[in-house]
Amino acid sequence: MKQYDHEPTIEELLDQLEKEDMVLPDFLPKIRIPIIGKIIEKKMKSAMRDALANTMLT
Amino acid sequence: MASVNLPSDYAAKQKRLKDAINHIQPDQVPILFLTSTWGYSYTKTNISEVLYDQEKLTDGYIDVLKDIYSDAVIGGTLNAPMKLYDVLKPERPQYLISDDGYSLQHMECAVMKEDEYPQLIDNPKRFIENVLLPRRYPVLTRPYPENYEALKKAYTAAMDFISGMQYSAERLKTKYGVPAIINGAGFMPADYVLDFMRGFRGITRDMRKHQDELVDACDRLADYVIAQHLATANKESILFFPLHLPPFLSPQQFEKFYWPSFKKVVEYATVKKQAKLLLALEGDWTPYADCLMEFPKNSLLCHIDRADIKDFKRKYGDKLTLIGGLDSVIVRDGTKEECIEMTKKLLDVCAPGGGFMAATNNVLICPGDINIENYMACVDVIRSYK
Repeated sequence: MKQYDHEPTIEELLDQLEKEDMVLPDFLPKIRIPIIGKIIEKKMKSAMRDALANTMLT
Repeated sequence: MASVNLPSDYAAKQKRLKDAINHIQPDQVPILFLTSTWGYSYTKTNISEVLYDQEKLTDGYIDVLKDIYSDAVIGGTLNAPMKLYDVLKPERPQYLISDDGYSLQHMECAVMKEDEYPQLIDNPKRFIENVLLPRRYPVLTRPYPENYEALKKAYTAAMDFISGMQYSAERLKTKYGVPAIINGAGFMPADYVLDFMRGFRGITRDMRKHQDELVDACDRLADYVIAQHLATANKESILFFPLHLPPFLSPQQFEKFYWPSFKKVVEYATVKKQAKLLLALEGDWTPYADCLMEFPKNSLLCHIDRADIKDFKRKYGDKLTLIGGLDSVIVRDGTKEECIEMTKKLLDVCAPGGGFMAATNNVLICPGDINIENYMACVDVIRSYK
C-alpha cells in the first residue's frame, strides 16, 4: 500500500484506488486485445474513479 | 393471471417509442408509466428488507407491470445508492427510507460555504473531492489508511448501484418486454449548486450576493457535467436530466443564472454527441420554453409538469417530444368518467404527428399517489384511440 509523508487528500486516495485496488465491474465490456485492452482498461478505471466520486456527491 | 406486458412485445414497443420521438405517427400513442418507488407499495415490498438482494429490489419495483400496461418506463430499480450510505454512514444522508418502508425521503445536503466559490471556480472536481466529500462523509477525515479502506468499500457499493441499473434494464426486457427509456442521467450545473452544494436558501442568497461567482461556477460546472455525464454519450443515448431550479426563478434570473450553462451542456449533448435528453421540466416552464427551440429537432424529450401540454403541443410540438398530459390529481381524485374525458381531449390535440407520449404529470412515489382503476381507464382510452 502506498505510503505518504502527509495525510493524503481524497483526490489522492481516489487516484490510489484507481491505480492499486480497482477491479472493474462485470457490466463493463472486456477487451481481449492486449495493447488496446490496456489502454481502454486505463480509461475505464479513470471513468469509474470519477463515477465513484460523483455517486458519493449525488 | 398472465402479465399484461409480454416479452415478445419488446421490439414493437421500441419501434413505437422511436417513431414517437422522431415525429413519425406511431401505431399507438406510447404510454410511459411514470413510477418510481410507488411500485414498492403496490407489490408490498419493504425496501430495507431487500436492499442487498438486487433481484428482489428490482422485482419489487417493476412487478407492477404484471398488471399495468406500459410501453416504457424511466428505470427499473431504486435510483439512490442506499448501500453506499450504509458503508460511509454520513451524518446527513441524501436519502432515507421512509418509516413505511415503501419510499425514500430526500434530504437537502448543503455542505458548501458561501465564501468557497473561488475554490469551486478554480477546479470543480478537486473542490468536490477534497472539500465537499469529507464534509458529507466524516469517515473520510479519519487517518490514512482508515479513510482509504472506507473508500474501497464505497467503490464496491457504488459499482453495485450502477450495475443494479444495468440489471434492472435487462430484467424489464426479459420479464415484461418493457424498455427502459433512458440509459443514463445527470444534473445541470445550476442544479448541482442547488442540490448538492448550497441548498435552496444558499443559492437564493447567492443570486443576490454572489451573482458573478454563481454564473462563473455554473460555467465551470458545465465542463464537469460534460466530462462526467456526456463523455460516452452517442446518438443512441437518451439521458435523463431533472431540472430542479427553474420553477423558482424569474425569467430574468433564468436567463442570467440557468440558461448559459444549461445551453452549453444541452448543445454539447445534442449537437456534438447527437444524443437525446429527457428533460423533466419541473413546475411551469411556460416562461422559459421558447429557449428549447434552439436545439435540434427530435433531440429533446420534455416531461411536462404544470405547464399546459396542449398549449406546448401547438407551440413546440413540431420539434420537441412531449411527455405527460394525464393530470395526477384527476387520476387520483377524479371520477372514471372525468379521467376518460381528460384522456380523449388530450389525445385529440397531442396524438397527431407523433412527438408525444402519454404519462402522468407527476412521478408516482408514495402509496396513495394514484387511483389505479382510474389510471387503467386512461390506458384503455389511449390503447383504443385511432
